[in-house]
Amino acid sequence: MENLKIILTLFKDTPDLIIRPISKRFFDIYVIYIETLCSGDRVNTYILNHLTLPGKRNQNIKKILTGPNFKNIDITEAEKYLCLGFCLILDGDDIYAIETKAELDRSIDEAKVEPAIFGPKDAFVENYQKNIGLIKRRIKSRHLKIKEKTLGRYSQTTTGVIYLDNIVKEYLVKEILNKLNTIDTDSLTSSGELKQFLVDENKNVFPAMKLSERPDTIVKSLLDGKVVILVDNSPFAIILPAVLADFINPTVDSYVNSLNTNFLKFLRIICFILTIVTPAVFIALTNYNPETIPSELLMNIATQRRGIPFPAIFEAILMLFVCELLRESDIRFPNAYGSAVSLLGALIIGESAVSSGLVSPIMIIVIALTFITSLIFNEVEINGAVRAWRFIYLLFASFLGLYGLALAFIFMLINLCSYQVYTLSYMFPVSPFDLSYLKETLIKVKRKKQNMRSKFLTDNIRKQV
Amino acid sequence: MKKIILVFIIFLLSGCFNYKEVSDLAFISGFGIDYLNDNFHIILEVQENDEETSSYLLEGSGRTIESAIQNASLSFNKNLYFINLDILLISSEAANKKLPNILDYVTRDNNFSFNFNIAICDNQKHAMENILNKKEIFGRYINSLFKNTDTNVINIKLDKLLNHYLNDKYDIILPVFNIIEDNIIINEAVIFKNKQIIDTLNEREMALYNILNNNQKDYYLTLENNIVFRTSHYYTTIIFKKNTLYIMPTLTGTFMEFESLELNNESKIKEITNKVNEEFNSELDTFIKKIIQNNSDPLGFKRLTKIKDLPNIKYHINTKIMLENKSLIFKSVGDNS
Repeated sequence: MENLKIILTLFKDTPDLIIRPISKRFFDIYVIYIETLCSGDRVNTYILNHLTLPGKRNQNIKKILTGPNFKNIDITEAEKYLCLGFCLILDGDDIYAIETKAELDRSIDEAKVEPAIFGPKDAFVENYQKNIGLIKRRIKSRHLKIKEKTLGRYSQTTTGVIYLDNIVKEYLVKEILNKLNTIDTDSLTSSGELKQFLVDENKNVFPAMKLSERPDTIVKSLLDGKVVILVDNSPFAIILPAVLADFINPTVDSYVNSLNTNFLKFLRIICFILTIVTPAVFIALTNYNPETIPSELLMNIATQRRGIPFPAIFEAILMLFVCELLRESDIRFPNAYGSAVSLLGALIIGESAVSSGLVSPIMIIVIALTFITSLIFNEVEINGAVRAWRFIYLLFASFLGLYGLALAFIFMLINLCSYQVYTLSYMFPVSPFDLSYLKETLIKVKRKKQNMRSKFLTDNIRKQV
Repeated sequence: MKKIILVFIIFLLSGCFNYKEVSDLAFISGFGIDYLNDNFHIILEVQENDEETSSYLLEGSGRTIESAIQNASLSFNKNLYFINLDILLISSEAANKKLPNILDYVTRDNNFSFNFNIAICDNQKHAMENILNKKEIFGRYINSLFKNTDTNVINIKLDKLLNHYLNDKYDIILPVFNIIEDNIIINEAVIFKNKQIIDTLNEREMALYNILNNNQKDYYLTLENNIVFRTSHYYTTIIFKKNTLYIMPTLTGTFMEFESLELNNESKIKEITNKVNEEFNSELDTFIKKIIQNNSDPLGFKRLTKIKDLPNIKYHINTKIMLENKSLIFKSVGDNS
């Protein structure tokens, strides 16, 4: 009775707490669970059916109760187990916990953020155990290790650090676990939130780790010697460390012919450069170095700019601002409104802006090129970094022309080369140069030639192809 | 924060030093310079991209080129921009008297590129108006004339002209615009000696000049019986050995027209080829003699031979004419017939 009183005190004003007394020969036992977290069917099948059967009523509880997860716990753990969807049975001074968790999550769905035409279609869901299962289905090895932590004082979120112990460099796991140990937060609801604890945000706008919803991407990263963190209630896993080359080249490239893929990889690098520098180059060339533009084109630009009241830089910033607004509203709005926003956007940045004399048609082409090239990155963080650098380039180009552009380029290069992500340079595998990881990311070679792991990520560099 | 403020201050203090707004620029495509009565008279063709007018002309006079340009732009609301200049026309008077000043001006002013053509034209306004009336931009039209490989125009750009002008062992050469029946024709070139015009080259001589300079323009030679030999490509080597200048052009081409050529007769073809060789040799010999007698050196012989007076030079012409493989079509046609 003492235990019951404690539980009642702890869960005062909890209307979904169900306490079901069942009478035994000399005293009552209590079945306690939180209705909203537990499955009524399981409570019936695993517990109530057995306890209320006339023949079994007086038998030892341990012997009659079924259920895959059965534990004898202490009163101090009662709160935790009740919140985890366990059903508690108070039998005198003994407390038993049986897992009767309700299925509150969705079933495994197709990858929506990182779709692949020929790759596997399944993606992580919010259920931590299912996500672990998706990885374990692909790596059937005893070397796959998971170190779990519970983070968040209120949320008590299970977080798993996953790695292959014979491939990963030990210091990386230690460093990550050390960082996780230092986290003391009220709640941790998603992997995106955890990401911010693992890296110093003010250091660089480029993301230091990659989020992925694809189990195959995670498996490939684990086999490369990287560490993956899974967070309960989050359909994205964190891969770390991640470098710039990882964002430009998705894992789905490995499902396509190498020659065709190399063209796409080259295209993506060009797109990465174009999306950052296009408006800046246009401003620098038209305002400072028009001699570099063929005279026919220059005449057309001059004619189109006639009657525009603003300088070209203002025009560019205005259009970039409008496009960012459109992108943001398109993401935030429900899908039903999506087409309306796109239509409105097309009207504003298309015909109307030109005919009203706010911007020139050539600027629309420049901004359209900038945004089309940015669409190849599905990672929000890299898009954010690209946006920030786009404005830095624009600022330099608008004040100093091509000279400013060169300065901004040097500034970016220094920034990227000096950015260390868990001892790995962000420009890896270009600087420091590493051919084996280059073959994994920036270029694709025949599978037979991809027989080495990067020595920067693992000591176990030999791999079977 | 301090760093960001510092960067902004640096930008605001040092930025925008050569900022230009393209819509405020007047793009000059053609530029004519004449020199009369101790005054420069200039004429500028300003490009327009309107549907109605392709370009229009501005004129001005002054004691210096700069003052003439200033006078021309007095009533004009845009900044004159010479970077896209296509052609600089110099009158023969200006070329004889003020060529150093003109070259000095266009080289010093960083508003000019080094990529425009230079030619001699005495009736600049007429020439420009002629093209303008056809709703074409004069500078671009002339540019396309120079690029046309079917004609044997001598193409001289500022960098090449300066290179020869500043070199003691070269004399300069410039193409000449003539207006015949309202058409602009570049059928002459003037050669200079000591920076003064001394002689004129005709169309055939311009073609030979191009061959000796490997300029890869089309060259044709008409023999008796109206047989026409036309080059597809050529290469000339000029070397100086044992006090003799060896000029060795190799011309590869084909017979374009023929009346009495026996197509299936190889020895006849060989004979005609030798005839081409002889004709070309004699034409080239006449041209070289003309150059040497004038003691003018647009081909850089002085640089090769280190001889100061060209009339004393010994030379030998060794021409090689090669029929292209596709000329064998004659043979096969002949066989079948």
